[in-house]
Amino acid sequence: MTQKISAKNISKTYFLPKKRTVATLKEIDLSIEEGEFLVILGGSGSGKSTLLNIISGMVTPSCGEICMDGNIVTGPHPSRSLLFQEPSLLPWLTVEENIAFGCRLRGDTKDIDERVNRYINMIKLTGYENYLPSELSVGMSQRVCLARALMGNPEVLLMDEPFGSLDSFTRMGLQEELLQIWKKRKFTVIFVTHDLDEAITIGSRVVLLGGSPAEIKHRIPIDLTHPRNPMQQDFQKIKAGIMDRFMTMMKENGTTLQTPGSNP
Amino acid sequence: MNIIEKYFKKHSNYGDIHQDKKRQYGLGITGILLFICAWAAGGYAVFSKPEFKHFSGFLPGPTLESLLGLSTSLDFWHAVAASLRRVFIGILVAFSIGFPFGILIGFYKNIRILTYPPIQLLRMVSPLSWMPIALLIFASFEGAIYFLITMATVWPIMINTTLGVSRVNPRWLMMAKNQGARDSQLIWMVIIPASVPYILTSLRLALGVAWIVLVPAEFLGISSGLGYLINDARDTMEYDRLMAIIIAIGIIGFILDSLIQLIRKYLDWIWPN
Repeated sequence: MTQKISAKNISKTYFLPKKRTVATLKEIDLSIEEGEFLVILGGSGSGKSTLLNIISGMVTPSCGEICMDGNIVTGPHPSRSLLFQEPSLLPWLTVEENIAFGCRLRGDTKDIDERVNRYINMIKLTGYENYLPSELSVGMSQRVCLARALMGNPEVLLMDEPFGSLDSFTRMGLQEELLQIWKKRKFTVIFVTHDLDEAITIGSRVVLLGGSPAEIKHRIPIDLTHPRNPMQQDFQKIKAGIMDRFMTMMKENGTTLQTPGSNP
Repeated sequence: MNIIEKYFKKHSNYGDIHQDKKRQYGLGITGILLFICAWAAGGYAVFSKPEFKHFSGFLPGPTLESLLGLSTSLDFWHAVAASLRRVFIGILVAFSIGFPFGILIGFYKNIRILTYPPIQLLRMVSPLSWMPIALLIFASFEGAIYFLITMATVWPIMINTTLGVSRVNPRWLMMAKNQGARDSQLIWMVIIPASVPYILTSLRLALGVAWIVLVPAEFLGISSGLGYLINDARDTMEYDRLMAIIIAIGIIGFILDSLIQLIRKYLDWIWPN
């Protein structure tokens, strides 16, 4: 296994008006293997989205650097494709045009119709090619976003709670679809979530963020075979272990609530 | 139907729209009839006095009769064509200046800060106060009117376009940047299409302002257009014709506005709020 992405000593402090600051991340060191499915787990406001945005190049860290294949990341790049919690489809484009959007931006239009069709089949939206985003459900929209991200042949897929606003049935379906695609395409995934079950269901490794500013508290490999069932004993054991660690982290902080900006 | 059902119906894209449409048209026509009644009542109260006898042309009866006459008169349609041409050319010039500037002002923060004071200052000036300057700059009245309408409409177009740019969903910009968009692609492929509803609103406002400024601008001394017709009717003391032209101006303005609203309805399907 080769190292795909590495975060070295990443810290991020946001500056607010009236000289107030929010220290979000502190000295994050993280190495992600090629083909890994890494899950970043943490509560709301724990800085996990910030970390993902820094890896994508969208946000500059206050300190430290991100490397991909040994090169320092200086800005966003289609090889690290981002997926957001809310669908980010352009409402004036049809499903087809939305999927092709990134490729058209980059002038990569060879066999584009055929490729778009292949992805529409893959996300099971055949027949919806000419629908507008306002005519789709959230789950369908999120699948279109996934197809658009995959069209660029990303080496790394960065997912920011992509299934967070879906009902549990749609979510299970999409987790399964994502796993299938990941196994077939063998790209690297960094997946942010606050859902324990989701993390254990899809991740090959879970990183626990905690504290304020957030640090990596634990790195937990998940060696279960797919498909994983939340009712399995092994699954339950891992879940109990992670929950224990969360409880300990909260006690260390002296509070069960994590409010961003509470630190000086 | 209880109030919650009504709310859902109003905010849903589906549902029985035709029933509502019928009711709306019925109410709208009743509104017009009420307006004519109020006009007649007010008119009779004033013009029944003997000293105002000459002004009885302002009453609904003679006015509407004259309006029918106008609709078959070629001179009237020539005047409408001249006025519409002025409005459209004026707005076209204003749009070709206001739109690109609006986009740039919305996109680049420094340009926004730089241009804020002069724009706010200039837009507070009544467009008609440029009239003497317009007459100095332009040899023809026609040119002066274009200039006045442009001065009146460039600000609402510019300001609304800027507003549209600032309201673009930041996620779309992040997504496009992540997909590898350059600044120019962000503007052309995300920001401009995303601001289409605002651009339409800006055109609607511009049309309203232009239509209002047009008539006094045509008082300048030009010998065509609806403003000129009003002046002409006053000079010849044909008050029924005068009033009919005023009503016609209202009707044409209403139709123009409705056309833009119609486009807007179609776009609302694509750009839901």
